[in-house]
Amino acid sequence: MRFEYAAALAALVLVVMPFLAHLLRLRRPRPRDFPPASLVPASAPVARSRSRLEDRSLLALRAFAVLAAVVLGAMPLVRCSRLAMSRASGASVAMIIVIDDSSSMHAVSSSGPSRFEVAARGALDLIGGARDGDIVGIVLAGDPARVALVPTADRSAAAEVVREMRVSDRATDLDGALSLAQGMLEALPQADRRIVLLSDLADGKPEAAPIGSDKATLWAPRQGFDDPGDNCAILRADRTDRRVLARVVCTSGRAARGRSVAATQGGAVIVQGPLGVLEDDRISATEVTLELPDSALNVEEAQLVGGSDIIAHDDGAPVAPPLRGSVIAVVSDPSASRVATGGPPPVEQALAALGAAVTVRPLPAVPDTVEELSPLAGLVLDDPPGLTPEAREAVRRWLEAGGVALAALGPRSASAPLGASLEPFVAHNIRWETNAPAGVDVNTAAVLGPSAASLEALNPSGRIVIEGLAADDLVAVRWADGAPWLLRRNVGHGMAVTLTLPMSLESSDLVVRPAFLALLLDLVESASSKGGSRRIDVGGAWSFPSTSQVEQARGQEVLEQRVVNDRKRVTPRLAGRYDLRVDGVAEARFATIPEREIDLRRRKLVENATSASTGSNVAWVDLSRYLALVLLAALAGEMVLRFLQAWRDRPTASA
Amino acid sequence: MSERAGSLLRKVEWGRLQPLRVKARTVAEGVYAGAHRSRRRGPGVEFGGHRAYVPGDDLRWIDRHALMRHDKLVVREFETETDRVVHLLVDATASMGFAGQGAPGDKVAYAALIAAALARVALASGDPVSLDWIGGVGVRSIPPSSGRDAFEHIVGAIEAVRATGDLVADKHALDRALQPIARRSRRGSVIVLLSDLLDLPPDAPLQFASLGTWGRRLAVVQVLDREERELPYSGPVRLRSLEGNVVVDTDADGTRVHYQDRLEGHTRLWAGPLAARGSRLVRTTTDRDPVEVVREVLDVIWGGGS
Repeated sequence: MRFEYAAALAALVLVVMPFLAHLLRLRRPRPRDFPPASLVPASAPVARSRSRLEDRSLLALRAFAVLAAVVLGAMPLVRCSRLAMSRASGASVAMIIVIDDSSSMHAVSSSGPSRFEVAARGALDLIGGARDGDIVGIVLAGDPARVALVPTADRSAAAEVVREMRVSDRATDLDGALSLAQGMLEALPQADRRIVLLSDLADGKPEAAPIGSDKATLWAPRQGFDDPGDNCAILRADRTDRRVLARVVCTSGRAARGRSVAATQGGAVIVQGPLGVLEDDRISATEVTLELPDSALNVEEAQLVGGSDIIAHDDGAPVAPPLRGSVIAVVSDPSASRVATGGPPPVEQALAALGAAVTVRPLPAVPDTVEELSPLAGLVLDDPPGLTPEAREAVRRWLEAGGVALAALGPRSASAPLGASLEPFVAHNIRWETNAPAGVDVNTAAVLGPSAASLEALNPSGRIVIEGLAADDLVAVRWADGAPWLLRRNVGHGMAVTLTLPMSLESSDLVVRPAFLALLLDLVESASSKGGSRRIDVGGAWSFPSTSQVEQARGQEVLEQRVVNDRKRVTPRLAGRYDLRVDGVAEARFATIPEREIDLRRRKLVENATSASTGSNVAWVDLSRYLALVLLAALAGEMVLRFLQAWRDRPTASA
Repeated sequence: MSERAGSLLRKVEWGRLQPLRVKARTVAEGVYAGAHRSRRRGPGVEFGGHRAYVPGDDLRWIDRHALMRHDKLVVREFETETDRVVHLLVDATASMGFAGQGAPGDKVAYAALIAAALARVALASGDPVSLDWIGGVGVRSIPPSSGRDAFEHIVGAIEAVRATGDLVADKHALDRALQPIARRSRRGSVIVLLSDLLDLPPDAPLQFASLGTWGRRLAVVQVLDREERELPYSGPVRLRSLEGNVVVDTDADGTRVHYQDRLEGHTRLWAGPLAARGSRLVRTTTDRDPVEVVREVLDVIWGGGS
């Protein structure tokens, strides 16, 4: 304990004042003239003895009150373990607290609470230590980074937000969170701007540049976040016929040692298989295949058994039944779209390059029935020569059910035979022209991300010109001359995307540019989110038309539903299975922990982010308010004692 | 007078009892209106009847005719209007200088007022009045005197007194006060003692009652302060007597009843001897109406006691 005004303790000598007053009171009373004094019997001073007993209580109480008052005046501070910012001056502070609510924050620290609980408690400490005039904002660093509380001086509101906060299974987006925090700070008038990062820094990018901020003082307390430990997680488990394929990621071989994957049904282990040997000291992923017996094909969950790790939360995953979500069908004429080195058409090769999550299925023609289309998550048409009426109807119904299709129109499309049209992609006439402008307007190509710049030098031999746009056509990317390069149209639950350039190397060099991969990745992700694939990473969202009725089965984690850009976005917080009823149709959807979130290696911080000059885990807490209460209690106690004394003396007085 | 008693010398605290002359006249007028003549049987000129002879009677008054006719010794009595001397003895020791909170004056002032009123009544009746003191400083005894100036002399003597003296230390003070009265008082005279009776010697009641022989009438007025009667204090108190250097630490609440019993017992020591002489004790406090007190005293004197 220390005192802010230690000199005030000199007043402690006043503690003797009640004693002196007591001694004065106990002195013999001044003699009183009374002529018949000889007739008055002397008596033991019973009353005085009694009052002396009572006086001792009062004496102690008053001495204690004086002591409390003096200590109160000296402003006592006690040292306790709680997060506190350092203050260089008395000026108000603008503070943005970045709380990591990603999956890795489930990890249990050595002291007991999870990392997220440590972060939440630290945030409450910081908010509690804020002073009048300080501004507090809260940003969540789970991917994507979000603003939980805009900067406010209402500390109780901030504390309430923190108390309501829950950890998720999202990935970590530290850069995005810091960027948000900096943006929030820029609008504030305070000169002293702080960003407090409450995170384990495990964002899956340990080799990236150190985290720092040039616009505010960054402080990242480490206590409670740096406890070492290994973890294994089952990210997903899919059933195909008689097999369960579980994808397991471990931070090191030590975590996998002695552990196995079991498929369970009703809590009972049906089948079990070892994890195998993984490399120590590096993150490793493995696929475990479990053969199911005929008697138990409907297993519900895959679980890690044996051993333990620091995150028990991700040791299990629901087993998904065979899904259509991973299949992207491609209709491309190999004779028209090919590469010199041979192999499948460029679009198939590009889709295959996107990763194992996508299964490419070449189709000779567009299916005529919706049943053929229903297993598909996405459909890519390369320079289709129009769609027959049957195919148009099938595609339309498939799109309305949540399919995503991309039609790259080319010269064959422009010369479609009679009776064939390109609905539901475009409703107007199209024509092929050979004097295409060089490149697209990069400024309109934000949907393609950073790789959009590669389209600036696009060199097409021709392009499709659409003679008129429908009301629901959205031009996502434009040619350099302003003509539509990429069109989007929502059809029911699904989406039709039209590219005004074919995917053959003869027509353009589009397929060899990075933007082409970005375009296909966007297609795959859209297919995943719209239900083509019912499995998404936590942090993503399922998208439905805003008019859709999405209901959840009872007893499950409640999904967040928001309407954004005329689409209803349903976002899961935790990984797992969600049984939904979409417009009356029951379906199961699955959310998965992003694989990079399993990597617990910490991102580096700039040098001064852990400096004691910015804050510490030890704070001096002012005890004045508590002492003031004690003082009040002492005074109330004296009143009670006096009341009891008066009550006891009442019969004597009446006598 | 002891050294300590001398240090307690204090002027009379008259309080609301001043001016004495006016107050005494007022009290006296409230008690008695008109002239009064004292009658005494014995030698005289007007026949007053017969009574049986008792040894010691003057043989001159034996009625020979009655002896011969009835063969009994009887004496003739004659009535005469005579002066009955009133001897006032006022206690002016230190304890009489006490005045409690709220009292109209101290005890000696109250006793002086009663004495002056009695003197006024007696003088108005033609009876001589004498004044003597127990203790006190500046005291001046007044021999039996009557007439127009006697009241003024008495009041003047009273006004000059200051209460002091310690009867506990000076055990012969009462003897010195009673001796001249015993010498001067004749048959039929009245002796009135005004005192708080607190610090007098234990034999004082008998000593005073012995004056009640030879046809003398006695009256004792005990003057106390209300505080002395009630001991109204609360809690632990330290009490100091004004005579005898007694200091008592006590709990007033716890000992009040016991004290009042003791005071009553102390007072009863006087009641017995006085009753044996056909008199009684008049008890008063300084806040009592003096008219009532004077009437009660006169009742004792003229009414023959209780």
